[in-house]
Amino acid sequence: MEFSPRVNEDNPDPRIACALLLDTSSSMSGEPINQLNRGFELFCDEIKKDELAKKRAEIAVITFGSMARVEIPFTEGRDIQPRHLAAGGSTPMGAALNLALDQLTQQKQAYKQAGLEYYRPWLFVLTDGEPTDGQVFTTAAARVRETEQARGVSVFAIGVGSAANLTRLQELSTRRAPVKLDGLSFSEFFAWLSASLSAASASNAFGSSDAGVAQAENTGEQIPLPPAGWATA
Amino acid sequence: MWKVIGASVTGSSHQALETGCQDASSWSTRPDVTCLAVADGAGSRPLSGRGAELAVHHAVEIAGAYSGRNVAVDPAAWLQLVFRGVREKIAELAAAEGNDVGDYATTLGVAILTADLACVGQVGDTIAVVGSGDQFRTLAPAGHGEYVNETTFVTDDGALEQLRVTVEPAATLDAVFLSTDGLRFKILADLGTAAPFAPFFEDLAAYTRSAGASAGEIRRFLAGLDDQSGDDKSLIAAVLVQPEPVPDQVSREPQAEPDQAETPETSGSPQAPEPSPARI
Repeated sequence: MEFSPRVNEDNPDPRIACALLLDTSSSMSGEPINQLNRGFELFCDEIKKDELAKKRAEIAVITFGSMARVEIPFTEGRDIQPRHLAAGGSTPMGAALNLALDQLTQQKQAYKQAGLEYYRPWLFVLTDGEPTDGQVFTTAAARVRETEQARGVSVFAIGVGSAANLTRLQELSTRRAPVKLDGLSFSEFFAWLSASLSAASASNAFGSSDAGVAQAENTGEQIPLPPAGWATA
Repeated sequence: MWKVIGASVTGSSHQALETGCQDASSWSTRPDVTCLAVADGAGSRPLSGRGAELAVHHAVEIAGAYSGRNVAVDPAAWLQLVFRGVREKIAELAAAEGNDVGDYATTLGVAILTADLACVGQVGDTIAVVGSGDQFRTLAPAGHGEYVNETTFVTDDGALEQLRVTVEPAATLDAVFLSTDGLRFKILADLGTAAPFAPFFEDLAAYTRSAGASAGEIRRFLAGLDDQSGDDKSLIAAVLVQPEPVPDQVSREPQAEPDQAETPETSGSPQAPEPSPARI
């Protein structure tokens, strides 16, 4: 006799919040911003192809060019749409980091209130230069490290081009060194990001609090990220 | 008498990583006491699958020692003894094998059902649901939220202080279910409060009561379920059924189990798949 009970199909999937901090200062003008736009467009298509990632990954885009702004608030992968980014102005990376941390904190709070479980959020910073809001950056970077230390976020810092100041990017993480994008391979980077979110979404390293997530990571398997073919030594 | 079926299966993410099944389940039925146990070994701890197996085996064995006792025993104290005994058994094995006891880390949920009482003890994020007719309740769910952080394992220091014991009068219940957290998305109505998803438990209770109910079908269901967790899954269902009459065997022990019962004296989670009818 067959057993096929009714099960709850409506419990929400756990979420992986991914904040993308993108440098849109004037030095990104021309081919860099074009490649960045193309790469993000590709990402928006790719993420929708993965059954789990399109439900579990929530992506936010924060730009810093003249000012830091939330270009795309946290949006599920299945709903995310490309937006044309234009380059111009200074590089207020510190303000962008503060904005991102605030958004991530809010997002976690929203998850908890909705009874959603979550993975450790990801924070990506892509820049071709260095912060022009040095003092703000120094404080914000310390805040990022603290959050990372408390296992509240995973930080990935990526330098674009020869003028990227990797020394300053080092301040963002004590766990992961900054890497350089190979040329303008934004498309490769975004394809990797989509594949990485798929891999993370298929893991069970999630919980209902930061400590619960940390334990799930400790006692569970490591999330196997694909090799970063877009990075250079 | 209680009729019991159940199974444990490897989750999809554990299959992909070839870690094997770190869940285990076991039960025993005797005329006067029925014991159920589920355990979920901790992810990457190297021997947690064995820890889970050891835990359910000894839990059922120690809990079953309740059988045949004429003296009244405080069931909550009995559950304490069960969990203490399980900890000792795992510690003995760890010492014998020269390993850290934490290598065998596992959650554990145990139910002891007598004519009078249903007693459930849990360490970690196991799920225990009881039914009365079409009403279902979750017993002492593991806490969730900001201030409740980590799953406790039976091997942890202080695990006995974390033991959640619930004692219910048996007269008000006709079904008891144990599960591990791998099923939570599918069998809970609300992940925050851990309220049970009643239609699932209605169907499970009805199925378990049916004459053709088999552990193999529970296993098949678990293995085929898109569970949103990727985790190993365990499920044990115990339902009250009328003992089958044995009119021709007057000399037989009045409380002996009917021959047709699906519930052997002691049954580990049966590993052998049951033969299924050929399908076209």
